[in-house]
Amino acid sequence: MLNIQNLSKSFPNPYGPENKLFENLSLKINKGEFVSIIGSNGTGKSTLLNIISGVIKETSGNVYLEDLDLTSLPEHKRTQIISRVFQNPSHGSCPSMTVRENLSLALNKGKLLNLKKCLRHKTERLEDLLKDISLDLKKHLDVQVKYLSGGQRQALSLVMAGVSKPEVLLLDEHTAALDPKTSNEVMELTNKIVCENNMTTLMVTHNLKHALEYGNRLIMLHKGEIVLDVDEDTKKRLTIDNILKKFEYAV
Amino acid sequence: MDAITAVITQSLILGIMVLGVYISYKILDFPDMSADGSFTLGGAIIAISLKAGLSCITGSLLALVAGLLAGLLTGILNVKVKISNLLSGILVMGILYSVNLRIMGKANIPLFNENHLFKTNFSPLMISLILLLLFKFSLDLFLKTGMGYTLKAVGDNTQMAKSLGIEVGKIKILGLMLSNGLISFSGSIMAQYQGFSDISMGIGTLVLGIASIIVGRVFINKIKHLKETSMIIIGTIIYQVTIYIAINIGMAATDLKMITSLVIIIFLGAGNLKGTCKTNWLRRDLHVKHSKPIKELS
Repeated sequence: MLNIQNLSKSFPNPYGPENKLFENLSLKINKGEFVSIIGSNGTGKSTLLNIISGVIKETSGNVYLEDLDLTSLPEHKRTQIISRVFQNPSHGSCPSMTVRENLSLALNKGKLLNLKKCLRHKTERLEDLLKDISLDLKKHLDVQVKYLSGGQRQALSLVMAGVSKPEVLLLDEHTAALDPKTSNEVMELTNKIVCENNMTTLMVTHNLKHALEYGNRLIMLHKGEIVLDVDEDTKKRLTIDNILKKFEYAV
Repeated sequence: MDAITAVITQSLILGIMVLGVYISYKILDFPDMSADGSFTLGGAIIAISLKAGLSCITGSLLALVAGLLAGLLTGILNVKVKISNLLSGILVMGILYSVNLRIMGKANIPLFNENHLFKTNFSPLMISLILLLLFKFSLDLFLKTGMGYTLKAVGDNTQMAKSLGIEVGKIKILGLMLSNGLISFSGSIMAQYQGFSDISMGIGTLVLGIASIIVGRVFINKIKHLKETSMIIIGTIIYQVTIYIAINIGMAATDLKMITSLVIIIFLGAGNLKGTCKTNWLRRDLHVKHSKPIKELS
């Protein structure tokens, strides 16, 4: 269970009082829950993920994973149990390494600092990881990632994030840079990886259709507060229009 | 013939230094100016070791260790004190200049009469070739390990390295240590080969290293399945021979710095201009490690 307790975050503002983003935000996410987070720009969606993964430091409050206090851990310790996929497809993989090398790095996550051969995984094992991806990644195992398209890279980033079986998966608008068709395919893949491994997942998205279709909980943030929190059953009855109304009300 | 042998021997010794620059400049994407200081540091350490009666092997190994420490300092300045990469290198280069003078006590120490590495019966060419190959193959093996790939990942995409739970700062320090260790070792061998240590022997080391890497990558890129480490060693030799020819056709030794820059400009220009003409597809093809699947891509 991911437990966010009394989280506060404020940014210094040289021209006046500091900007308070979160004030005593508390949120509990059960193990294996797939949560979609929506909300307009500047409401703290990405900041929330950044705080969980340790990229930025909270002002006060704690984030617990089961009994482990994440806020006391440095970033590299957190990223060993938390995986993340970014909006920019080029952030998730090494451009001058091949798909095989990138996958091997991900497979060795957490035990990289040794003198064992890095590329020791069998080709079948790697192909198996890429097997159901319609983007043809399997054929390009020995192509450098910089020659792949954004969609292929994002699919690769997802596979790499999932292969180490992280406790928490954070997806930060990971389909936003892709065309509608590819974005749907990557979303399918996301759903498959998350469901197969039963990972606790937080997905920030601006695609309301995806937010409604996938996952089993929907949260809407507005100015650092949770204005909507619905479970799977209620979510099924929601439509995009309902949420759009909520957006107008929130603005 | 003797002159050519000397140029090749010198290239092979400098090749060890270029491998060091390759780690910082190419793999870590860190233009490490402290290289200039580390090269002289190696010369300084071997000079006082030989004067103190230590064997040449112990002396060279001491030089290697001193280089590791110099890299550690640059790394700490960059990672812990958060000084930019270029400036931390320059600062360490400045520190090393004074340290080297302290170690040597004077600006130049002759080593002709000491019992150094090249006083043995083996030919200098063989000795430097064996040393270079030893380091080349060790580096090749290292780059295939998990730690080697971590090093490459940190230089290639820091963001991703962080996502993989890698402590990026530590890996950077490790890379800089290895880099400066190799450079310092190369300096110690160079001092023994030329028969003296001089405070200014390291000036321009980084530029020389980068030039060799550029030459190697521009020209040798056409040969498939050749490791990058091999490419840059061949680049070092081509570069040294070019400089040798330039001096031989009547340029003065004082023109050396200008020739160095001109050679870099020509080789860089050749590489960039090629990219605009018809061979573009060919070059792209060659960049891919096993070029078969690229056809399906395009």
